[in-house]
Amino acid sequence: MSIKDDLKKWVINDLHLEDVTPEGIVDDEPLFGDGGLGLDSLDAVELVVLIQKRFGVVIKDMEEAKEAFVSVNSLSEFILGRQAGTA
Amino acid sequence: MRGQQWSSRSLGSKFKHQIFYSLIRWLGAWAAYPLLYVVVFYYSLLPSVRRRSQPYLSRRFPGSGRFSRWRQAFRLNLCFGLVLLERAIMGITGRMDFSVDDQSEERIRQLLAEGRGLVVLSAHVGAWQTGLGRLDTFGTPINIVQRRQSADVDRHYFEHRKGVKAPNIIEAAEPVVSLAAMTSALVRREVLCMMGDRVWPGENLTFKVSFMGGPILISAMPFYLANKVGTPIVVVFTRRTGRSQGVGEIWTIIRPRSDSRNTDDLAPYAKIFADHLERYVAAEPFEFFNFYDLWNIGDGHVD
Repeated sequence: MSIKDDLKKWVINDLHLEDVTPEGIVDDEPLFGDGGLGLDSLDAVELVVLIQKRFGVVIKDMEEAKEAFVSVNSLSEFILGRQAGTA
Repeated sequence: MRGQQWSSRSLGSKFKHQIFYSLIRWLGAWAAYPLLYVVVFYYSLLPSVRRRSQPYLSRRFPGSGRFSRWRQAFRLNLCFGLVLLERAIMGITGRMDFSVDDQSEERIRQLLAEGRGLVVLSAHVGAWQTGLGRLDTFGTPINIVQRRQSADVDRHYFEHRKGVKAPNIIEAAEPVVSLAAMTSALVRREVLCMMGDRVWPGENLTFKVSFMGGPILISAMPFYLANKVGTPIVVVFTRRTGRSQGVGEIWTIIRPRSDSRNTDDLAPYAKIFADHLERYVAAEPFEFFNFYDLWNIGDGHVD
């Protein structure tokens, strides 16, 4: 299972998203706001806790959050980069 | 008619602030105090300036006559001016005798030792900014949440000189990114300082609580974040005790607990904060610096 699949599974589970399946989440669609997954600012709190708990990765600052919290693609790249020690 | 809304816009221009900074820098702190009294007296004569403090003063001192009300506004403005001036003095000269009593200091160390980060919840009272800056003595990185608008020309104490250790500022302008940064700070087990008496423009996750006889809005964020990360909240208020002197004291410790996703469950914790703030205001009436109508809450709150 790829990190993107893991990520989608945990996002649905930990953020209690109803009527959403991993297959229904498009990799490059926005996570927040209209036109994508439709997460809100409170979900950002859950997402930070999720990636720390599930992937052992902690965001350092606002710039990192801005880059990582765009889409499943950007978030998975961030997690992989951090796990590899390059992000 | 809607009352005055909060804005971080400074009353004086950048040039006027610069006069004070130059006086402190070239003549010393003592030279700036007399000018401050003159400036505060002038501003206190302006009805537009006095109106800013009326919503608070009319609740704190109901039934006051016109002269008494003017004197109260002057004292409040003066105390605020002194806090800002001494913030600049600290920034420029490094002089500020700010202390935390031994019991509070020990309690903060114990809370930090729990290893779950710490939310320091304060309010715009006393020497709040210089006081929170002194939290760096605990050896844990400090993050301060702020909302600074472009018309706010006041400098923070750490912006006057190079080499002054500055806390990490989390600008609350972008909800998703700033909330992620606040959460991350707690996940990293750092200190996150928030102002409980300020709801940012556009913020809609709030609790309506009674304060000084009327409802105000308190941000739900400190309680929501602390609950999600399992972080204790320490309520700290500062007060000015003399020229360039201040003290910080713990008023209470709050440990929000809610398994529900319903944020309403956290409302009682906001009430605890508001009750302590009301007690502070009863004791220190001229150190409460919210120059807008807190009680003008409009719609959009969480009941």
